[in-house]
Parts: sequence; structure tokens; C-alpha cells
Amino acid sequence: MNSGKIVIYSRRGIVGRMIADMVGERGARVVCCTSTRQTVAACMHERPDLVIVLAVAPFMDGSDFIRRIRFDRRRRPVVYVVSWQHSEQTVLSLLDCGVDQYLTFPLCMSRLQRKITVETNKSDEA
Amino acid sequence: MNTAALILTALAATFAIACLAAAAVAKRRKDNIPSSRERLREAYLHRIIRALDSGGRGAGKIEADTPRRRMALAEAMHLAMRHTYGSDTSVLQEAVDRNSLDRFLLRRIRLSRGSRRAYLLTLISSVPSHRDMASLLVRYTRSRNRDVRVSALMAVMAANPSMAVRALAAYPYPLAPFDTARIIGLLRRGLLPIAFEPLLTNANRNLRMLGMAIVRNFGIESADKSLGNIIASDPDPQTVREAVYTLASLGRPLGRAKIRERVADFTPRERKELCRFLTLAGYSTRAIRALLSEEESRYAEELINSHKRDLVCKQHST
Amino acid sequence: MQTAQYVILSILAVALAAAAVRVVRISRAMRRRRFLAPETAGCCESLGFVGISAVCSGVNSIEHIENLLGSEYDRYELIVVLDAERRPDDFRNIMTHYGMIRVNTAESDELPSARIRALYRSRRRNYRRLVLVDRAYATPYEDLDAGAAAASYDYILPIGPSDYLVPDAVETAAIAISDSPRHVEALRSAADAPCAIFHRETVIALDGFSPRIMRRIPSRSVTRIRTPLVFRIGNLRRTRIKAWSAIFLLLAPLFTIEALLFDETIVAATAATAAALFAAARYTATATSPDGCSLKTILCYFSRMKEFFRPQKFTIS
Repeated sequence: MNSGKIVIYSRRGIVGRMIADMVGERGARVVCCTSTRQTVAACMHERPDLVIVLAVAPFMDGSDFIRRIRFDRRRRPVVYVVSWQHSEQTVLSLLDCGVDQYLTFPLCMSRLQRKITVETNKSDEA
Repeated sequence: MNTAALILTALAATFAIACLAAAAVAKRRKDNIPSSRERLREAYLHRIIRALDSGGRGAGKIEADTPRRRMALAEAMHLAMRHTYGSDTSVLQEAVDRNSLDRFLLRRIRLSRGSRRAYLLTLISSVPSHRDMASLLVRYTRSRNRDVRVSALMAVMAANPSMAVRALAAYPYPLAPFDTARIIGLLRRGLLPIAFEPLLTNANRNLRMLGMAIVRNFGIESADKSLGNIIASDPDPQTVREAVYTLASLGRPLGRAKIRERVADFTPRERKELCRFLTLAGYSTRAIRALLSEEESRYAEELINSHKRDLVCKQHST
Repeated sequence: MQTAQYVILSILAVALAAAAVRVVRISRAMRRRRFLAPETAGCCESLGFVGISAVCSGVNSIEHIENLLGSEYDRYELIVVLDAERRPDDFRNIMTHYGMIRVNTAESDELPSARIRALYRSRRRNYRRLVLVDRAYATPYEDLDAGAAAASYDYILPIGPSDYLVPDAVETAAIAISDSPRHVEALRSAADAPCAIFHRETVIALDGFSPRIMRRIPSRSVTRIRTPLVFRIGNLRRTRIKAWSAIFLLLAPLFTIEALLFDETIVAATAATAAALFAAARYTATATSPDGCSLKTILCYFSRMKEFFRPQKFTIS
């Protein structure tokens, strides 16, 4: 049983909490946020292993979101972006600015859980 | 006179109270203060996710004995089904049967109007239901309200996926881009077993539009021959336009004679729009020149150049 | 005297009916928006290939640009028009923050008033939706022309210095444009912060932006929506002063005359109608505007009344 920490950002709280239900069953501690400011504060406080962002705009608006959530160079959380289908250019932009995985809705629950288990196990070993 | 004034006063006072009550509800919604139904919905959503995750074990029986609980359960199912795919939904079918959720929603649909009806139809499209539901919903595909008829179409297609193409072919109104985007959403959830090729060659305009939307959304490059055939032979200018844009979004060559001929029939405004689209899609000036007039190509060249910076100093750079 | 009472009661009844119709329409539009919002989220990629270029004049803060870039819609760009010589610090801030570099630009023969000095785009792919235009400031309309000349998409959304986008504004506009069975030359949002989106070729055909641009577009080519696309952050103190002054100037003489000439039932009816209009403004502001300021809505009522006598000019905040 892993004890990873996950922060989830979604403007629609209920969708964020649904994702939290999907990933929290494996014993990870999950914090849900509904604004980028809350997410950055949660990352500073919790030092999560994984941040799941259910939007692409925070990476494209100049708010330096990814630098702020990865403020600690020694402990760099993995960042997943989950959103509805975007164009190739947008996906490449996300990968360029440091997002580790881009997933689209609808999600396969088992696949997401497996990916997260691998990430949280990696950070446990580290 | 006094009576008229008193009646007006009473009406105004009632209206004022109603507006203030509505404002209070709107404020609660804006402040994200969950109502009791929203709290119920979240509780059901949690149980549904647990049920889907564990294959039905560990969630217990999902029961909803009051109308409020049934609505909350339907909304929770809709959220779960919309955002996930690939899970075994038999546990949800059990919950639907136990609580007669589909019949409940059908009754509510009959009694409602407008956006509310469209919303309920959207919910029923996500709730696992029996095939006979499709025949009960098909009458709403002829509603005067656009949102209602599109939501009804989606519900009919979801209830009986094997008849989805037939339902779409029978839909009497032209599908708008937002409508096809919503239908693609059903496809992504794995609800509809639709292949694109028969759609592209179908005589029905809506089916062709859906076929092209599928090609675009899934990046199916092998469809360029079928798209070329549509461009060459389809009499509907909007369908031809859609096919040209779909080819362009796939980055396929556009220099063929038939495509040039059909694009020449576009209005000057449409050609300019196409010019901008091709520029953003990454086509070179040469490719655009093969398709459009000299003046339009010059405009495209300027637009393409505005995305670049000359390394050879023709002008000062900062 | 009785005729005068009838006239007053009729005016009050019409005002109440108009407010009721507006509230019902807004409530329907908001209900539709709530229903569509989750569906809209699935349409980030493209809707009928509709693309929107937001052109802003007078916007110079990074925080404001972040809001305007906060749309999830793919076919969207933001063109910031700024005078580098008048506002060198703001210009430099934007250049540095977004990693902008100067790119090639040519004189526009479509919109001669554009007169762009320089065009900048970002080196970074994730800021590719931002375009910075340097031109000598003359009027906001010429700034909008410059932005339209540099735009890559078909529809232009003019944004002023106090305008902020509401969530999902761009998607809502794209859906409304792509859903229209006719060709859309302009889309008008009839919410409290009025806002319009124009087809680029329409702007060129009308020789650029001007105060009379809306009047020159045939109304059958204008699509109207009731959901707001932008909200205005203005000087709240000034808004309060304007609103309360207008209310006082209208109601004080009216109540005085009624109290002197008519009986108390007429005064009560007027007071109740005024209260109903305030309540309607309160509902409209709460439902449609992020800041929920009902005084802005009341000012909007006054400007709507003025529109009956004189068509409104097109302005940006």
C-alpha cells in the first residue's frame, strides 16, 4: 500500500472529487483544489508526488503555473494533465512546458490508477 | 383607479420577492454552496466510482427511494459515464432497474419543457437503459427546441446503439457542429459502434457530416480518398466546405484539380477564411498558391511571414 | 387628473412587464448555459472551424492578459495592441514575461488605419496564442483595426481596458456562431456588459471599427445571445455615484409630484414598481455577473432606455 500524495486541480469541484475517488482508493492522500492559487498553496504545503490538473489554460496563460508547483527542485512532482481533446499544438505546448502526461476524457479508470500507482511507487522508492 | 393601483402594487411586490429569492439561489450557486441535492449527488458519485472500480463489490445496493434521490443518482451516473469508459456498467444497470430510474426520468421528461427537458434527456442518455427506451424517446427528436431534439437524438442513439445510424439518418434537421461534437462524445465513451467509411459515402447529409467529424477527431488520414470523392461530387456547398477543411486539418495535399475547381466556387470571403485556416494548419505558400488566386496567396504569404522572423536583416530587429 | 393617473399606471405596468420579460429571458439563458456548460467543456478543439481573435486596446497588465489567455478553446488568440513609446515599462514587462520576439510584418492594405510599427510573437510554444502589436496610439478604434489586420482567425472580439472574460466565454461564442444557420457577420451579447464579436471581413468591408459599426450591419446578420461574454471592472465609486444620481433624479421628482397631486395608492404602486425593478436588477447582476453589482445593471437599464431614442455607439469599456 503506497502513501503517495496527490493534488488535483479542477475548476469544477465535483469532477476533481470524482477523480480523487478514483485514485484515492489505493491509499494515497488526495487534496482537491478549485483554483490555481489554492493548488499552488496545496503543493507548497503537501509537497505532493503527483499533481493532476484538469485544465490546460493554467499552462498557457503566463501565470507560470508549472514553475510555481515545482518550486522545490529537490522534490519535483509529476504533473498529469487530463482534459477533453485538444489540438496537437496544444498537446505539444503542454509537453514542452514540462507536463509529464497528457490524458483525455473519457478516462479509463483502471489505466489511470495503474499509472498513478507506478508514479507513487517510484517516488516512495526515491 | 385605486383597484388598478392596488393590483399593480401587489404584482410588483410579488415579482420583487420572486426576484430576490431567485437572486439568493443564484448567489448560493455562485458561491459554490452545495444544495442538499448536490451533496446527495456527490455521495452517489462516490458509491458509483467505488462500484465501477470494484466490479460491483464493496458499494452495497445503490438505492434512491425519493424523487430528489433519484435525480441525484441520475446526475451522478451521468457524470461518471461522461468522464469514464471501459468499466463494467452492469452494476449501474442493476441500480437503474432497482430504482426504476429510466421510468422516473421519462416521466420527468414528459412533464418538463425547454432546457430542463433537454437536460433530462442528456441524463437519460448516460443512464444504462433498455432498448425499448429508444422508441419512447424518438418523438422528442421532432421538438421545436433545438437542444431538446439533439439531446433526444443522443438518448435514442445511446439507448439502442445498433440502430444509431438509422436514428441519425431519420433525424430531420441538419446537425450543427456543436451537435456533432456532442455525438462524438458518445463515440468516445464507446457507446456507439460506428465505422466512418459507410458514413462518408452515405447519401444522408447528417451522416456524412458525422463521418467527417469522426475523421477529424480521430485523425484518420486514410480517409482522404473518400473526402476527395465528397469534394468532387457532393452538390451541397456546406458539405464540400467541411470536407475541404477536414482534409486540411489532416494536413493532406490539396492541389488536386477537382479540389481547386470546387474551391473556386467558394465566395471570396470563404476563400479568404480558407486561406487563414491553411496558414494556421501549416501549409506552405506554394501549396496555398496551387489552390487560391494570386492576391489571396499574397495575403497568405504575409500571414505566414508574420509567424516568422527574417534572420537576414531586411529590417531592424529588437 | 384621472388621465394622468392612467398614464402613470400604464408606464409603471409597461416597466414592470419589461423587467419581468427580461428576467424570464435571462433566467432561461442562464439555465441553458448551466445545461450546456459541461457539454461545452468537451468542445475545446474546434467548433465548425470557428476561430476567435480577441483584440484588446488599453490592456497592459500581466494579470489582465492572464485572464484573457485563460480560455481552453484551441482556435483562439489574444492580440494586445500597445504603444511602446507611451508605455515603455508595460511593453517591456509583457515582452519579458512572455518571451516575445519581433517578427515580420507588412503594411495592411485591408485596413490602412492599422499602421503597425512592429509585431511580436512568443518564442515559447505555450504562449503562441499571444500576439503583441506596437502602434502609435490615436484612438481605440484604430487600435482595434491594427489588431484585426494582424488577426489569424475569422472573428474579432474587441476587448477594452476594463473587460475580463467570463469562464467559457469563447466556447459560448463559438457555439453560437457555428450553430447559426445563416452567415454571422456579428454576434451581440445583450447582457449587462454589452459586447460584440465581428467577422473580420465585415470589419474590412465597413472600413474598420467606428462608433457606428453596429448600426451599419443589417440586423438579420447579427446573432444575439443573452449570456454574458465579458464582465467590466470599473471604478465602483463612480458607478455608485452615477447610479444613485440617476435613480434620485428620476424618482425624487416623480414621488414628489405623485404625493402632491395623486393619492397614496399611486405612490405605493410607484414605490412597489421601483422596488421590483431593483429586485430584477439584483437578480440579473447576481446571475450573470461575477461581481454581482446591481447598480451597474441599473445603469444598463438607463442606457437601454436611451437606445430607444438614439442608437447606441459601439465602444469598448
